[in-house]
Amino acid sequence: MVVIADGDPVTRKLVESVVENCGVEVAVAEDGEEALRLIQAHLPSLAVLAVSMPLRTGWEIGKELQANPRTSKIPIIFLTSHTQEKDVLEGFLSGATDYLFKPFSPSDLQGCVQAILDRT
Amino acid sequence: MLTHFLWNAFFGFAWLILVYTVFVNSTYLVYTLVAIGTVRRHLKTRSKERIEQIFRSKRAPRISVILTAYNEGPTIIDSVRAMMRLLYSEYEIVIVNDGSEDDTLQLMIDAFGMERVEKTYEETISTQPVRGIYASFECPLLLVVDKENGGKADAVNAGVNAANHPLFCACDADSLLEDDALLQLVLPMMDRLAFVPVAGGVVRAANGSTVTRGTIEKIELGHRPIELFQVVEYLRAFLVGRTAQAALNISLIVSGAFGLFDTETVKRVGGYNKDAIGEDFELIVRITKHLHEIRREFEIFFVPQTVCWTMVPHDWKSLRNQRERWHRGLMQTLQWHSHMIFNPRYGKTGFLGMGYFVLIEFLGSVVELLGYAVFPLAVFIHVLNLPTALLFFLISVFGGAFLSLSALLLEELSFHRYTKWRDVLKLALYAILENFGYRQLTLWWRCRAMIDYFRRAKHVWGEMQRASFSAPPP
Amino acid sequence: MTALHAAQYWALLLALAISLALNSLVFSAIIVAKLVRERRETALAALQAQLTDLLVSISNADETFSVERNRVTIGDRVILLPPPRGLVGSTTRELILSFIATLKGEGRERLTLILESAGYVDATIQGLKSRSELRRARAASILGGIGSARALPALTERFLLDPSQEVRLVAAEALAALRDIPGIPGALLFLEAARQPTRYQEARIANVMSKFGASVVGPLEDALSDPDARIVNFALDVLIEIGLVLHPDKVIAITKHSSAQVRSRAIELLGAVGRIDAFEPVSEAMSDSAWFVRLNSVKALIAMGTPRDEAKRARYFRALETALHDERWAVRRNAAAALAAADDKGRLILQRALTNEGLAALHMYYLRRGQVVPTIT
Repeated sequence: MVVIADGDPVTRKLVESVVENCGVEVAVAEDGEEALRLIQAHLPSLAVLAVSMPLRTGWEIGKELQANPRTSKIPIIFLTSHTQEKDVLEGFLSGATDYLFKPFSPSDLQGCVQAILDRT
Repeated sequence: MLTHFLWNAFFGFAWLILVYTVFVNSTYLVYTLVAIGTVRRHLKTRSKERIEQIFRSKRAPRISVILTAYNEGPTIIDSVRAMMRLLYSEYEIVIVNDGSEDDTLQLMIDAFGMERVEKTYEETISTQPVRGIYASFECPLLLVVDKENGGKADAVNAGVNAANHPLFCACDADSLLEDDALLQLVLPMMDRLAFVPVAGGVVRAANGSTVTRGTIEKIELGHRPIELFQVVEYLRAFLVGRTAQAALNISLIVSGAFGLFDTETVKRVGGYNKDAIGEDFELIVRITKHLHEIRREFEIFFVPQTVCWTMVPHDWKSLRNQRERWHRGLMQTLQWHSHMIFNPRYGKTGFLGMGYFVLIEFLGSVVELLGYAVFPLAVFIHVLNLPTALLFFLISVFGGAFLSLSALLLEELSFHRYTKWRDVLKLALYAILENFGYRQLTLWWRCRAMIDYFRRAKHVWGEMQRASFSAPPP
Repeated sequence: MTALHAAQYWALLLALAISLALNSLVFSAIIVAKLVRERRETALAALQAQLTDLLVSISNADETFSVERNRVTIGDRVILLPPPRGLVGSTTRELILSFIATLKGEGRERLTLILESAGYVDATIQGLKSRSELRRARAASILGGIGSARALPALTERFLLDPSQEVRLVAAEALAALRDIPGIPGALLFLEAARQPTRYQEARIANVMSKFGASVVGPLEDALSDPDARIVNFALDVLIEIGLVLHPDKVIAITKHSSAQVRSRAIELLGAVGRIDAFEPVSEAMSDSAWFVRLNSVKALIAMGTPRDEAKRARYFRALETALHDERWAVRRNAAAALAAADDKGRLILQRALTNEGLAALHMYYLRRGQVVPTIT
């Protein structure tokens, strides 16, 4: 199963549809707090997170997951409109497996997701 | 003979009060209309897109967010983390530990991996001694200034000294900012040709809302009447009052809980005054004075859609202390800068701005109190009959209710942050009820503060006479 | 006395009546406003839910898709889009725009096609003719969001001819979003910047120009020799954003400009572009009188990377070592970061500097970490 989190409803719907196309179950969160809760409860095979979210940023969640051995192996894709270099570095320091920028192409995301799911 | 004289005296006085009340209400009415126009215009200009531009721009001025902390142990980490979530491209957070006696400092050192650094600290504004400066290499946004206790004004001054950036935003540690707050506040500073030394936002009561880890998760109303009265009051004061004052360019108050300042200007006027009771108000008046004296054109801006949520007092004693302090602060500032009142040298601000404070805020309390004293007295000595007195009372009460309800209408038309029917109706009810006791209570507190202030001033003055030196106001 | 009393009494009653009436009026207005808003929201919510599903299907380029006027066929479903009028039209448009903003690729092209075919683009182009400045600006902004090439002529016209600066700016932004580079002569954009706009407008112009990339570099480099420092600063900012320089000598020339702000940006630009042959001016700037120029030169040195040439390496490390003892903490910190990131030689220098009490904490941190740290302010 895959956990998706983004504050923007349009992005949520799009990502949800892409992941469902990969044939996996999806849990959707509207803010960072809920996202963390869902991940810690379900230990998904992948998390697709926005960076800017209410209550907790994607990076905070990434660091939190890294700190706990139960969740540190969960791959994370960050989906964000931040495009500054230092942000990318920050993302990788927070445990990103991959980074995707908005606007994104659903087929790119699907490829990304499929690749990660196939690996695990 | 005596009755006739009393009757004339009373009527003269009653007319005076009436005229004054009409004057005050008309001012507020004008404020309400101006505020409606301003807010609607703000909403039409699609600020979301505009602030997106600033967020992506390297040319946006850098901001230092200054947080003062005194014994904030339990909440400091959450507050700082919430500040780190603000949407802005280049900013720093300067946390001033004002000699906390609990573990505030150690908590921050541990949570953010802070280390003591030998950063140059120029004491442009003199403060209590600074014990050390800490920076975190993991979170380069943060800077902690550890100093000996000196009070809030002193702490903010230390923050200003340590701040690196041309703008600073002074915040209480328990203020909850919305994530686009800095973007919203900086927009008027960037988008006007005139110099904007100060930009302020709205302060709203967070009581009753769900707060998670330093951010408001859900906006709700509190339950206690005392909180509800304050919500209505704040709406009237901020949404209507401040918006209108800013639109007419006579702003003089930007709440200490939430304001963006030009660092250089503040340093030049000497920072916050430690002895001021109402330090925020006093600083703005001093900035205004300074800019008028050097003949620099400026505008103080107020952004109605930027909100800072803060916990308002929820028991009567704290509320009383707060209001008395505010009023003493008001009088002190008016006294210190009395030469500005109705002085054409200080432009519109001197005339209308300070004038407003003297006539309406200050004198208003006196007149209202006298009204409450004189009318019952008149009834008692049969100069006035009871029904007429009651009529006066009801007119003034519903006049006040009208203004509060208008503020609510403006809120509903523009930001509509309270979405439940129950909440909206509750607020409307309290807008009316406010005038049947709450308002009179705050009035009574203000008058007490006034009497107290004059007594103290006389006392101090008397003492100074004995010590035979005079202390001019700063 | 009695007569006066009576007249007075009635006047007061009247005043009270007016007061009560006004109160009722405002109260009713609040109720009405809320009712209207809720009614509207419910009506639109249903529309949005229906549309969202459709739009998600369209974005996934799998199913067959065709559109004729306002009739959209996706797979085996057919939907009629509402006309581009009124609240329903604008809600539909806003929703489609939010999808367009999030997407890239075929899905996005389909959505733009839908808006063109259902008449939304044409309707918005009409909006460019409005008498209200606010409406024109709004229309231009929407057209930028939609991304339809059909809007190019109208937008170009607005940019060149509209009397309002705000509208011109928004039109330029829309054109930049449409990636229509030949449509705007870069020099004209630059002229806007020179017209004393506010800082906010300058920021927007800079944003637009940076999207134009190489085509505006020419006029920007020419502007570097302008006597007005504000123009030079602006040109430098945009060049830094674009990250491209065709004539580095022009930039190197102003590293000795009288304004520290200009010098600072010039150094930053040289670092951003990463030309090693700017090593000389950058290392010279490390002894500049202004601390932020020194800071930027350390950062530029880091950006240019550790040189491979032996002679340059020696000077590189010497320069950084000097910066370790700068009076300004930010400079020291960045120099230490650079040394820690360099290699063994760099870390050796750091270790040696440990003997200096004042720098202990800083250096211990980097040695302990032994890792690359991002450049920090």
